[in-house]
Amino acid sequence: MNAESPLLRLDNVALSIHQTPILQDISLQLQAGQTLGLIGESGSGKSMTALSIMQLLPRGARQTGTIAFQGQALEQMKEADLCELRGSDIGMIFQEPMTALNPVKSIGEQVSESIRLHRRLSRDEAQALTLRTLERVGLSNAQFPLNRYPHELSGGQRQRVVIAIAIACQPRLLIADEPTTALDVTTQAGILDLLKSLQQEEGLALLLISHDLAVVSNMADDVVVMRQGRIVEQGDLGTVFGRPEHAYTRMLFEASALTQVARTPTAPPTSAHTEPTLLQVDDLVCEYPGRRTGLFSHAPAFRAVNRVSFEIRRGESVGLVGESGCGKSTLTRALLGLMPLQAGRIRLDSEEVSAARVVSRKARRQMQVVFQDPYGSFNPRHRVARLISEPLHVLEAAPGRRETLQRVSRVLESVGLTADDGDKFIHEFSGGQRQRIAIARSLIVEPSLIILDEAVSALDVSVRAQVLQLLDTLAREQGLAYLFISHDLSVVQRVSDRVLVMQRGKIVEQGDTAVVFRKPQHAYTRELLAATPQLRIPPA
Amino acid sequence: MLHYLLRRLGSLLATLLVASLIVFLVIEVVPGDPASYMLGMNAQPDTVAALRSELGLDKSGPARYLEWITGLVQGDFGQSYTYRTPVADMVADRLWISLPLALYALFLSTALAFPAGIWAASHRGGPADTTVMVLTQLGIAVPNFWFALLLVMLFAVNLGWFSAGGFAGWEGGLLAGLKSLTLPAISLALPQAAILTRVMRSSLLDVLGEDFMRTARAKGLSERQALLRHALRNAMIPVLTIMGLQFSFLIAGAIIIENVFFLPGLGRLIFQSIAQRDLIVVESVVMLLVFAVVMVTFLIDLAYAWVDPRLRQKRR
Amino acid sequence: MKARSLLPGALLVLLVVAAALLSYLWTPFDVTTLNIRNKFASPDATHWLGTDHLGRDILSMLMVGARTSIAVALVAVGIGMGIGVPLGLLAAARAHSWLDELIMRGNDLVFAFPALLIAILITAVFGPGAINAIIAIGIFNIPVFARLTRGAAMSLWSREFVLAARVAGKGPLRISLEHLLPNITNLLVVQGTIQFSLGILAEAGLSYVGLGAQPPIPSWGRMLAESQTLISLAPHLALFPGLAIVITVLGLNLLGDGLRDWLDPRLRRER
Repeated sequence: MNAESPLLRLDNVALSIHQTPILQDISLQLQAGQTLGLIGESGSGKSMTALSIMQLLPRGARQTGTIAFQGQALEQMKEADLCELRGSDIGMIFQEPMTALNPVKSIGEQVSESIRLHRRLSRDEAQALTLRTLERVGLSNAQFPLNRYPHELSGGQRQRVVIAIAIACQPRLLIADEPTTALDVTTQAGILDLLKSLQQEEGLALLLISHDLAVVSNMADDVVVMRQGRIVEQGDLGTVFGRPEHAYTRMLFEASALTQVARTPTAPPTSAHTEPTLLQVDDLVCEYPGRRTGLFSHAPAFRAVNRVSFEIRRGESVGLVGESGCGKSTLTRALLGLMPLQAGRIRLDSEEVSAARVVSRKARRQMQVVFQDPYGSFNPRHRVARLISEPLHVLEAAPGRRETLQRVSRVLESVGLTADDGDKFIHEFSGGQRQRIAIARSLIVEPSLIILDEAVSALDVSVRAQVLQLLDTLAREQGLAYLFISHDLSVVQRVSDRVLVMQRGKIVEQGDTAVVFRKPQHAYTRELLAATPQLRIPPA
Repeated sequence: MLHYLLRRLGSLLATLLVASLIVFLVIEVVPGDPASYMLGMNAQPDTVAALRSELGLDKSGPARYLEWITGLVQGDFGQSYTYRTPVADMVADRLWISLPLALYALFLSTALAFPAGIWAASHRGGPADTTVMVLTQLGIAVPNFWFALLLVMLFAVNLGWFSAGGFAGWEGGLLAGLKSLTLPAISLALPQAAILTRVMRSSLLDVLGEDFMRTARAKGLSERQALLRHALRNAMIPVLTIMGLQFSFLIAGAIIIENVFFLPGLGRLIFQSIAQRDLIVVESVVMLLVFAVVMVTFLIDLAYAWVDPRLRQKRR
Repeated sequence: MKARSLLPGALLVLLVVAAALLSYLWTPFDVTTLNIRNKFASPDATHWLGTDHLGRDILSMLMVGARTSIAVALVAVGIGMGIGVPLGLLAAARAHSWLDELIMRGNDLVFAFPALLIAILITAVFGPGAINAIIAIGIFNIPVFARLTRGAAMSLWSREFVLAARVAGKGPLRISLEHLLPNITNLLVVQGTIQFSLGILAEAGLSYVGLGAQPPIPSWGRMLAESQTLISLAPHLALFPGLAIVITVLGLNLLGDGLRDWLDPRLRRER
């Protein structure tokens, strides 16, 4: 531990909002120029800790304990002095770059506002500093003039503007609340590099809040693990990551390690290679019509899926990875018959199912789907039994009431819930349970293929591990094939026998998971792999 | 930007064209023979014949429509049957009362609603907010013509500060004219101001919950600065929509309010014409009012583009 | 649960509706009998709200007038919903098609005609009457509901539970009825109360200028119109019908606000 007094020090901080306790007994410190990683799952109170430091708490919040910045107790400062401090000595960046910028102001205005607020500079000087700051975060003036608006930038570029706002006045402390969670993995790598270089070159202290152990392990000097508003463990990175003491930390590590990209994975199960082909996709093309520009005119069509071919064998688990906008969701929809095909062929059990340019009803029986959002994929007004039995609609002869109920109970039990859960409404379940219900719904028509569209992406790492376990078990017991679509390489590596890599509507590489991950052939695959953060455990 | 403008302009013209067709059909085709309708049951056959030829009813429907439309575009609104004067002149006279009245009311309602809405939103949950909410709830519930009656009772009958009705004319000076429009404008503006205040408040509250407001606070803006510099402009989008809709309510309201105060505006003209079955006047005045509503919608669309850079983009 | 305006709103609306219903069975006095000798009576024990220039009992007239107001506004909302909601669902199901474009442009067109203008057009040709008021207000309500429904349905169409229903092989009609409609009922109920109150105001305005219900059917708007020339003589004539309108509209608005607060948080929790 450093002998000099810490830049930031929290002592027994507790927080309640409308009498509901949010944080309890939070004590931590951050030295100047150091990086502190704050780890926790959703609801652990890590964002509220950040907002407490900024003194930007929601209405009805009451904070006790002391938050000292440069030896000054923040909660005793006047609001005007806090405004002086925010943006000049403490900067903050947020999780959601798409909404963190004011849509009606240019990026130049938004960066220079923060400069002119804290520095007595002329308009020209402020403008010059704005340009330098944007250059500093990698947005060259030539490509990104000051009069650009946020909607003209990508998510990663917007996050760079948010960082520019935060560092424009050279703060001593930068708080980054899940700064890369909403970004693609290659973009994430760029932002993390930027944060790291800013931290080293400007000598600022970084409070990095993340749920991702791998990200933290690559950035932090010290770590704090939070759970349900309390700190369960803290110390330097080597100690906590090397020898986690608390059961919760150990569980987090096990769950994360389960979904880690290992460079030397076990040999792939070869049995699947001998199974007959279940799904055969040839030269699939899907286009979105351009925006309607008049009553009869359209902008040119956008080709989201471009001559895609692949196959899935019975009982095989195939992963499809790609970043946002690569066309993987469109491909899912086309396979499910939710979108017309412009060209190509889909065969199921050697039988063509895409004859009418849309997948037939019979094919839908064999293919079911689990979506990403555990909150949005159920009609909130129906009971679970009705939700689960909805796919029975595709059967030629829908079963009677008794048999339907039997089937519902059976699938509920097979995903680890009870038959009684059928009478409940969906809002009575947690995110992980909802994904189990979504899996139950897909199982009820006894399909041979389940498409999992980012099915575990919205789940906390511990819950995610359990759901992946369930999928494993079901595949073994019922001989199911999976098409596992994800932006997350580690998840795909863990669950799939074979992997397809998709970029800009095309499949650029496919092969056995082990082979692709060990010896990626395509430049894009290599880039993806290099960008995926590794859980690095330094010696204690 | 140009693309957006042209599109809006195109839809404006299309709306006007279809609207004019509807007005024409309702007035000139649905009654069967407009001439005998206008003259009533007991008209002499030769009077009817004379009117028929004056109205050009011997020509085909499409031809008459074309004539009417080309006339309108050139400012020729036809001739009033009752007064034997060009409708355009009558309308022009009345417009000098109705238009100032609508603008006066729009000014009052905006001048009242913006500060009140901002004030309520920035003190949300507090006594100021509650007061504004209760007052606006009442303001919305009060019919403007009844409010006008109450104003007359108080300020004209009891206090004698204003005259109970009539128009002093612009000849006597701007102030005299404005004075006779003040009570009408207030009664028109108050319910609208109540609605606008609520929209302003709730729109601001929505924006205050956005992520970028947190960014603004994190860069060191005070709550007040953040509200004025970042929230207000974003909150304007729904407010503009409502202001556009309100203009058509103002027009409709003005027609009624002019009757309360015996103001010789377009509203009075239209009711007199209905009573006298002067369809030519009704047709043209309705079309003029539709034109006004559509123009305001267009101006609001332009204002959107001014407020929101996303709309200025080519592909939208 | 912060639905503070629900109860007062419901009570006010109940009061007006009860008065209207009661008037079918009983009113303090008969509204068709004139009693000129007892004209301009101030409120007293016999005539609680006084009498008008023809000696009719104001309270009785207000009770019967409530029938007109409620009937006109309710039927107009019914027309608006009955046509607007299916149009909105259809437009959303065929989003960005020419049909959608047509429906939305049709909406814009109707918005160019304020309800009063529609009433004026109809009256100019067919003469005044309560039916015309209903049609005018009803037409004006159609685009309001069509837009609301389309907007809400469009956002539901992209929700995953609708995708799941499509994967289960359900067509647009079944999805619209089974999944979309139940999820926008709250919105429609809230908007319905708002349009109801606007309808009451519009009906009063139309009757005030003589475009609504015709004598001898009592209506609040016409009572106000009749009171106008007598305002210095008998101010109470102008007071009570106006208060009746304010109470009804206020009640409906409070009810609408209350319903929204009451229905909304639950929806949020269920999400």
